[in-house]
Amino acid sequence: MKKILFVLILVFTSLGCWSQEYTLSGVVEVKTSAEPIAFANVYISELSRGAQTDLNGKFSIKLPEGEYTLKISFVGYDDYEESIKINGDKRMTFKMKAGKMLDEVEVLGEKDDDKLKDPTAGMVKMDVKDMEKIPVVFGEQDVIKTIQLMPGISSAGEGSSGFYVRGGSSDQNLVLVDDAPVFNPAHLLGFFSVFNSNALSTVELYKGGIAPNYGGRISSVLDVSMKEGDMKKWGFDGGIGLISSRFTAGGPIAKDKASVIISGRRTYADLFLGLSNDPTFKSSKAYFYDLNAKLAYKIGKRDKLTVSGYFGKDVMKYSDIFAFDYGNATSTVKWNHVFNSDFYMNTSFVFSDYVYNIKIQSPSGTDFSIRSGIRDYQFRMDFVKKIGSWNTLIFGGNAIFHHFRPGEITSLSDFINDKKIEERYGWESSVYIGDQMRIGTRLNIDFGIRLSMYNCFGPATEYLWDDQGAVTDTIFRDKNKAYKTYFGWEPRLNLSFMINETMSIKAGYNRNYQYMTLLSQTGSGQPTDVWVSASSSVKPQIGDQVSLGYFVNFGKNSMFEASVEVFYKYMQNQLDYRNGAQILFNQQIEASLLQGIGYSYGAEFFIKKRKGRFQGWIGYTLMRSRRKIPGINQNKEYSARQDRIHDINVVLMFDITDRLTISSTFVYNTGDAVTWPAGKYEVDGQLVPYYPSRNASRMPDYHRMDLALILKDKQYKMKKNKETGEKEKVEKRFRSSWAFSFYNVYARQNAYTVSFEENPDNPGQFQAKQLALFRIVPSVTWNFKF
Amino acid sequence: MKLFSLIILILIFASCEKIIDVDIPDSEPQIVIEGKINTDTTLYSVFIRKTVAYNSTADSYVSGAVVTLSDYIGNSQILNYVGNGEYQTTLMYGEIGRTYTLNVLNEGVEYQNYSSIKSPVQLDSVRVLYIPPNTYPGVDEGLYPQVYYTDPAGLGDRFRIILIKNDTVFNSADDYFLTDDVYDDGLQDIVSFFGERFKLKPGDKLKVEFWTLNEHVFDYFETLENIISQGFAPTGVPDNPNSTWTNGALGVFNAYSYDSDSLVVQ
Repeated sequence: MKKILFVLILVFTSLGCWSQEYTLSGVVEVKTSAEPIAFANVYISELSRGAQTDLNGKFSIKLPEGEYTLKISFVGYDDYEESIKINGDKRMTFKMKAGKMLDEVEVLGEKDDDKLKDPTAGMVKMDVKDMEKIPVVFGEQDVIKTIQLMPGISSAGEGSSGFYVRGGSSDQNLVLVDDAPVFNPAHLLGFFSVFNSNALSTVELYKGGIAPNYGGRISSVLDVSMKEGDMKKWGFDGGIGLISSRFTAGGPIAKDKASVIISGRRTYADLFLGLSNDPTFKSSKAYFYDLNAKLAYKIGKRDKLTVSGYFGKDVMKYSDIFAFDYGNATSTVKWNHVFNSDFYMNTSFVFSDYVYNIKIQSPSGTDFSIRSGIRDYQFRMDFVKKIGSWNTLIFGGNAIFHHFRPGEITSLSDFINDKKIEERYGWESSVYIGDQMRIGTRLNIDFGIRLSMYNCFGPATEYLWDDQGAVTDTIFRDKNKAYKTYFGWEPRLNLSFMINETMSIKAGYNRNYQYMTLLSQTGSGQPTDVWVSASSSVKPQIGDQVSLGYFVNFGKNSMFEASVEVFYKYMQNQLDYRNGAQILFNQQIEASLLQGIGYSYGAEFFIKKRKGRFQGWIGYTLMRSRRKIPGINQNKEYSARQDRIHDINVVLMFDITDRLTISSTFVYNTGDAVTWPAGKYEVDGQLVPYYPSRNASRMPDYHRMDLALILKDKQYKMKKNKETGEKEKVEKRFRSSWAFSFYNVYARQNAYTVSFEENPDNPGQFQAKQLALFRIVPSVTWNFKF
Repeated sequence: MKLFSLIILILIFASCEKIIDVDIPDSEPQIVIEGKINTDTTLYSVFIRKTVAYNSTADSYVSGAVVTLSDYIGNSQILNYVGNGEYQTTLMYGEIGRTYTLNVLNEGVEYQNYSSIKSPVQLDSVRVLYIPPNTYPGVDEGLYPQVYYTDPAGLGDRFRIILIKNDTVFNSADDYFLTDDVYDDGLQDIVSFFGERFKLKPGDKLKVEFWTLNEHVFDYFETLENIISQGFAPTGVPDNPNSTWTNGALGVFNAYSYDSDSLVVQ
């Protein structure tokens, strides 16, 4: 197999090498700040050959000897054009000037046919600036909430930061911020995500066609990168809202050499508690904060070092009796080295930690505290090498040390014992190789393979159990010894074929292994959910997905884009629980877990108007997601909670004037599959619901409409030109805007929960009671930058 | 300012509840068997019913079953049907250390369950706790019951506390006071009862029964409580209580011993 792969790579990589070619490599930067421009399009008109800049603004292109016109375009910037003469390898820096009509809300960096050509079918790319027009709850821009408006992706519940991608569960999404995994991307029970949009530059979500450099989760990858500070001058922006405020400062610490950016956000709803006369409320707390920071340092011409970090925490305190805090911390040290114009490398050290603490003081004196969490240390190397003009080889590897801390109780009184659930250790490592091939002008193929390995390390106590989950034996595993090893072959393939200039078809296949699973109490993500490692008894999850898509651009200037994608996903070793499983503080939790298979399939329809005053999109997903797990539902197949058959998203944005924009979103989805009582009976003097089958009922359908109104200040002011004495328009440095938003405008009472209780008017009879969280939530935010 | 903050809080957190109509298909009726035996010298009843539609107001009793109670040393008797799904023993009562088998034959299907009477764990004391005003948020000033017991060393002890105030037994869905020794093995445990309905006043008579349960019975009550009390099921997905009846019958067979104590509030 290895040999065949090697030969294949050799054959493909040599395809483009028949003529003497030179390399033009370069960096595209913002003229005023030297900040790299990612995803800018570089185009050689004479050859119809192009490239796109990477996250560091770099590109390289192979050209035969000759004279060419080089064009660089990037929305929001003036087109750049230069004649260049190629008679040898060349390195250049290109400075782009911000355009006069800088409209930040355009989809940045996307050329009309980019999406058609990109072989990655299931990829959603969003510029953070895109999101400013989209209304959200509490008026806070949110990457995760916005991405939930795309087909195939749906929210895990009202206001939730958890999301389901193509029928997968929310812990099957790899959420990365600057390469560091975020274990719990939610604040305040999910109403806010941990991503402060001020601190972010790009967001990519892969719902299929996952490249071989990603691994570890079977459903999707959400790759978020933090903004870098400006290399030329300091800039500030922020926002003041009803619930929270944020502020970002970024700029050079050594001009053109080093920059820093720091971004913070905090909620202050709890400050109102201080106004209360009740001492209980006065001493209570409820807030969260976020801090993002990134340092970039250019060392010579070939090296760049970035250090970035995220810290966030939620704090809740109810008088002295209950204190609860949780938060993520991540940090990434990344060294980017350019060997030559065709070959570069990224080396990173990544740290990620999630922890929660609870402290309880009860009136009867049984005081105790709880601590639980997970921590990752990761080292990774990624290489990109261009071979010929039609091949880009990517290869690399990583090693992650996982440290699971399922829970520890510390007694603060005599009435309870200390208790610690044994910690778990795992090494997850991988190597990968892939090739991005451009064959002619029509066919693009990305293919590769990732080999992953997972080792469970001692010390550990493992249990054997019978069919009922009763423990029958105990096995002690030695310290620092691998007691269980799993290997995973993960082939990846994406291809796109341009039928003509406005149409393409894409196909993809990928297999992913997931060596850790989140044990969730509700399915929508709670701060106290526990990650469990693969072990002798818990097998790693395996996901296989095939997808096929048809993409088309139409209308004047390719004003519209539309696509249809179908997928089928097969998931092995999906987890569920025995009835009555105690997830928290259960040393023998593995005995309460059951594993089986899951599958999902569906079709996604998407149409988007992407130019003009009026923009927006409509997405529709038709999907099923089913599970079959021995021991659940009498071993019969059942719907997963996220089996939302119909899912519709409509996003409309209209620029009434240059300064005033109105936007609206509408979402509709079939209710979650839930388990409701199909009967009742009496036992022990109680009226008891009877559940003959799992997830056989449906929550009421969910639908909601949101509205937003954005009013920007004037972009220009009149200023007298000192030389000519004439008045002229000058762009203002301080810019601000008001964002008014209304969540759930028609006050639909969407069911958050439905519970069954005895009818007070007719004892002995059950009735269904629905709880809705929000009616209409208005909010206002003032954003500024200077 | 205060009014302003109040308006915001109401707008945001004004959650709303309402009764809705739901469409649930009928299910095949399932048999429910509930039996108990303890060390009292009384008659014991076994109730046999069938499940009915969730919004039905009728009951469904099983009258033609053959119900046999036996122990492991050869004593056995068939229970008499007395109506409304109830079958009664004649002279037979439980003894500590014995395992009992309950056998039900209905419509050609046999259902079996077993349960043992364990040695009772004694209560240390039943007390009344006075909470002064403004001591704990959510707990009013007043007198509240407290139960003290000492857990025997070694994991696996499981108990249920039955609280009786002036001959009124607390037996609502929220009154499953189940306690085990996962967190406090071998320690003295205090169980306090806070809340308006437990509040005592001088002259009140308080009685406590302290049941020592089988593991599977405790598991049954715990998983039962998960789906009937206001709390939520630990895994979010409700399921029938874990029953050890064979052939898929719902219900429980509880053989238990108990200690009890009482006091009159001064």
